[in-house]
Amino acid sequence: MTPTNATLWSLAAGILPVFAFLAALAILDTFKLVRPASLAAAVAFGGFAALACYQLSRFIDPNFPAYPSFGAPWPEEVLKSAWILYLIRTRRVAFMVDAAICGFAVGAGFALVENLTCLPQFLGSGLAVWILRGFGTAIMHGGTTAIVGIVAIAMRRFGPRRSLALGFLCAVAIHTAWDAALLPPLYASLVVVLGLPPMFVFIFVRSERSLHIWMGRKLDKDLELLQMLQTGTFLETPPGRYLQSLHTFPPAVLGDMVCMLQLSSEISATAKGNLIRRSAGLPAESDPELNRKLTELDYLGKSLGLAGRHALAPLLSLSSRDRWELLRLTGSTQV
Amino acid sequence: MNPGLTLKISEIEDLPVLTLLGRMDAANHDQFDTIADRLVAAGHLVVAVDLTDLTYISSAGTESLRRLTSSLRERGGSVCLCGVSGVVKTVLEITRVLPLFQLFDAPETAHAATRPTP
Repeated sequence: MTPTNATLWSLAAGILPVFAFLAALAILDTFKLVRPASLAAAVAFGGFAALACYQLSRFIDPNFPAYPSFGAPWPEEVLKSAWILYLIRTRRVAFMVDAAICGFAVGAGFALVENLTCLPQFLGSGLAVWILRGFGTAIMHGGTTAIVGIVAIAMRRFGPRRSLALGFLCAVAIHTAWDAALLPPLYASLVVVLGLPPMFVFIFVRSERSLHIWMGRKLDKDLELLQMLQTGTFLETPPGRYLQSLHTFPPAVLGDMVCMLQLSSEISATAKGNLIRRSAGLPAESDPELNRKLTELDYLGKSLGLAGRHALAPLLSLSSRDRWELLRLTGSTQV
Repeated sequence: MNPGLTLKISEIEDLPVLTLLGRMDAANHDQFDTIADRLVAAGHLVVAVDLTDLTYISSAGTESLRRLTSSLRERGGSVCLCGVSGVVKTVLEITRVLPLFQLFDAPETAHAATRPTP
């Protein structure tokens, strides 16, 4: 084997496993929650994070010999988790599945650049080392960031900061255990390769089941509300009576509350219809009226004011999933 | 031209009928205002507004309807709302503007009811 060929094989062994795993995760995503552009952005961010960490380690390493094992996992996981934080703050992920895929993509990008920067260091080490780096280190990087996303979403009832911090600490613990070589590299790689896939399959199956249940329940609720509004019976129902009991609001605001319920239910039902279409392998149908509906939602939000929105909250619980629906739907028409 | 709302003007004898199709919201209610102002300026005292195919109306739209009825009432006229049902009826009810209008099933019944007796 010529040196050039050996380098290429080494690089392939170091990089391909993590990207194959990422592709498998994307395929397992039945609802196609993560678009290719989002994956590419996550991979690119991971690459930048790796470059930043490489520069930092070059600066610190000579003064702190234990840094690669016990210090490096902290800045590396901080930077990789920053992307998860961004996705959660901007409501771009709302389920464990999309958080896991995006997290893994960040880790894959990180591993790609890290392996490139390590190339001169490990060039003469032989293919076995690169296979270990590919199946072990690279997948560990993807797995730890995926865990940050999974824990942050699964534990969100404790608040975004706490849940993200918990995910981050889990990631640092795993990463430190890896870097400190608590297990011999071969065993550690086996643990990663044999442990991660079942964990992801379990999470995907569970998350998908919860998504189906949520979608069914919420869709039923939205359609029921729309039917009540369309048949003109809404004011005789408990939500209608509740609205009529809000005497402190001007009648025009009460009217806009009805409009807010109608628009939100319409958008939400369309979004869920699109998710169902995606899961059936059909393209999402764009709503030509969507942009004007979103503009009208802004108008209604201003008309209701803070007090009005609070008063409507029991009927219109805009959870992170619901906000995510709107964003997803907006994106699907803009692309 | 706003695709959310389509406005059609027709006449049953001398009764102008303004038919609204689609959604009347903050972005397009001024289309209605423009035509309503034109009808008032032309001296019509009674105007029929057909809402049978209107599927959405927010406070911006109800304000436009209220504005038209105020203009006509000042001149001793009125607005006949036709085909009010579903969510549009709910919104007009809860905003308490419904009593400001005469209600009819269709423009033809509005015409029959408002036609001056010979």
